[in-house]
Amino acid sequence: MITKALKQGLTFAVIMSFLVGCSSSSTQDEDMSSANTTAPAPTETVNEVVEQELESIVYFDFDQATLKPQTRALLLAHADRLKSSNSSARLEGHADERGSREYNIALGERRANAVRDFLVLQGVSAASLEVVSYGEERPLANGSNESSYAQNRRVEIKY
Amino acid sequence: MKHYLVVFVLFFSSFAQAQLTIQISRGADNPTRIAVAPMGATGGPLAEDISAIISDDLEFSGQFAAIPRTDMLSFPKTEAEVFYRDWSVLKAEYLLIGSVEERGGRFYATYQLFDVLGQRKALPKLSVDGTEAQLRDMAHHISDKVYETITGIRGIFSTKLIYVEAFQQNGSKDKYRLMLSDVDGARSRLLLETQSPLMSPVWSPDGRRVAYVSFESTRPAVYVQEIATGKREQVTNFRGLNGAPAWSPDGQNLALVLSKDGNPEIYTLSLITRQLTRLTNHFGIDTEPAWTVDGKGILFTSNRGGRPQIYQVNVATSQVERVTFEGEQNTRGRVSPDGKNLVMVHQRNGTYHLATQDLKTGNLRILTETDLDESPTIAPNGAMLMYATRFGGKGILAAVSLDARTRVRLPSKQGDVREPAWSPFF
Amino acid sequence: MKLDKLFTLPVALSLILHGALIIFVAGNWMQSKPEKEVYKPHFVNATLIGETPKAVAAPQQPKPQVLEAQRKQEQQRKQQQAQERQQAEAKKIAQQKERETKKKAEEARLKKIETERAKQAEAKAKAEQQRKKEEENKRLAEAEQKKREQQQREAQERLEAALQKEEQFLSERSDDVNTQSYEALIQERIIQSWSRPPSARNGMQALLEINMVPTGQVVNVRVIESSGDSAFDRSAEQAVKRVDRFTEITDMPSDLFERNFRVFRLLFKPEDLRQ
Repeated sequence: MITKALKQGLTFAVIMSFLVGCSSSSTQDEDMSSANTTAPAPTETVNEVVEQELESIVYFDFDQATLKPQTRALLLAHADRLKSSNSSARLEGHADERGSREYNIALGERRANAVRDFLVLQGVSAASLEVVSYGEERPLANGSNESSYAQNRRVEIKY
Repeated sequence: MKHYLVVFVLFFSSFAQAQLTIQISRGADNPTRIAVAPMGATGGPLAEDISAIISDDLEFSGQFAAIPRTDMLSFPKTEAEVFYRDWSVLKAEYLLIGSVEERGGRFYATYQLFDVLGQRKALPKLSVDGTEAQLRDMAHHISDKVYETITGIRGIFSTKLIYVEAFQQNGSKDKYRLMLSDVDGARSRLLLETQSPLMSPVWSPDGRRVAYVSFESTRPAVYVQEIATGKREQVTNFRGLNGAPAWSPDGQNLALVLSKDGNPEIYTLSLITRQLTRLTNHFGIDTEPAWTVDGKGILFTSNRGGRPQIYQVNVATSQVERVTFEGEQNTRGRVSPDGKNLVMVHQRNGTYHLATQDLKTGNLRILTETDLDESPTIAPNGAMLMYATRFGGKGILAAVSLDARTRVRLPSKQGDVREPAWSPFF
Repeated sequence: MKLDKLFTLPVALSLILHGALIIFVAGNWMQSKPEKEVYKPHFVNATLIGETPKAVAAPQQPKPQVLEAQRKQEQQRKQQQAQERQQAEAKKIAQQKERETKKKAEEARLKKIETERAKQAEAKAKAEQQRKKEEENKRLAEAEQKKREQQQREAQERLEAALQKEEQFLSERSDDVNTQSYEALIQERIIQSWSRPPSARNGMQALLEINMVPTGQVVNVRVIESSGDSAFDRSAEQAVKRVDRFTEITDMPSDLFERNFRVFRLLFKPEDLRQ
């Protein structure tokens, strides 16, 4: 005889399993999509010829010089290229226009240093990397709005 | 008997002292109204309109309101021609009259200042002379004299500005110019032109040299240039950053930012011995040094506490203490000539302002409201501040009085104007 | 051992203290055993009002016996005897009762009369009391009335005296109020005209003496206590000169003017500037 309590328990269990099922599938979707946007290139370029275009800009958060996790894959690709081709590169650090010029010069250098340090950790020789900062002097986007700012907070890798 | 006399006197004197005293604890601070009568030459018209330059100067200070020429009832040139009623009817408080005479290629200006309210002379008849090219300087000299007589502090109308004018066309066609001009923006002349960024110009205390940062060698380096001759010297060539020069009050040292040892730190470089001394030692960003008036301390911007704030390092002991505590960040500190105030860029609730902090009490006052105001420079009389801002889609210079009462915009130039540096008194 | 030496004294003390504590607590505990609560009955002071005899209980019927007829008969005989006795008794009781009730009624009647009389007496007494009270009240009222009248008279006198004083006071006070309002007017005009020089700071003060004529025209200004900064002093003088004439003064009563405004002082002491 199924008591009232048992019935309740079963419905509860059924509902919970539904929820779990649904949520897990949505996170799976999210992971898939983010993976797609941040690293379509790596899966391709690793197999392709070195002359192929590699995304050469790495972006940063406001007043931050720490590498974002999404940029790892891209930098690994650059590290591979640098090691295999024995070429040298110039890392140019930039900042958005907010804050004073000298501070932004220092911030740009920090960002370029962060990229350099990561590449060196991957085995790239430090001597082949030059670090320079332009602060806010060379913006990519000229607006005074958040989207322009986001495009300007960057390090450019130039061979 | 004497007792009673004393009491008697005291008793009555206490009545006598009950005089009404009214306390005045604030003022509307309306600008002082001054009429500058046209100072024509006895010969033909002059190359410069002296009285117009003087009126503009006095208005630039924010403390005067010049009465328009079109309102004037008479144009006196001598004391005999002055009728106070003509001027009190215009509510003028002061009247400046004068004339210019040319003799053998040289120009001689005489001038007199009258106190209209008091109906008497405020200055005796004075004169100043110069070449035709110096007509503007003569006008500025008269403005300084009038300003000082009425306000009691030295005028800044004969001082100069150095600034950067940028023509940025994204990358290859960029042009950067280091410019020198009069404080009103007139008579600008080129000191240096490059195709890579220029920044942080600073005057030496004797007004003869300027230090700045240039990227012309593809990496930032600090240069010192003699203004009169254009002769210059690159004073640093370290790897990493070389930037943010600041002259010590005695003119013998430059404070700098170098990142040669791993991250940006404050150093001092003796221009005499070329000895380099490191002052800060922290893995954070330390930049933008500014000397205190006694030369014993250097204020600087650091993000060692998270967001950028202003700290002070003792030059002798290298001990560091924090100076600013309000707002999300404070950068680009500059000390006023009397050593009492710190002027800086202050961020609060996401908006940037120019602000001034009393170095003794820690009291902070906001001076401007626009989000785009930056790189303040203080006038040598401590009464005004010049800074860079944007107007009409362009970078321009603006000035504000240090009590924030008045604000003025300089005429825009062709390029984007930024990074002004106010000269000392010459 | 050294260790023992170090510990013996404190240990001993500790033991002693603990022991004392235990003894103290135990002793208290033993002493403070809960006392047996003695229940004290509440005595009710009741007054006996009257006695009404209980109703006579109905005589009990003897139970009939089924088995022994003889006993039954005997019992019946006994019963009859008892009944006759009872009847006789009952009659006696009834008679007694009757006599008692009669007596009771008589007593009640008497009592009623008594109570009636008592009531009347009480009522009379009360009435008397009431009357007395009313008389007393009347007297009191009269006395109060007299007092009040007296007070009123006194108050009146005082009022008149006060009014006189107040008139005098008011004329001075209205001067004060007037003075204050004219003060405020002058203050405001000066504030509007005062333009502080850039060197002015909180803490500076200059004291000026003003000479005015009844039309409000300022005829003289002079600095009697300098601030030490000539530009500051001058700005204060300028402020007064800019006003030049306080047009509202023409409405001022002349005695007030003479008293406070023909010559007065201005203390320029800013509080809104930087230090």
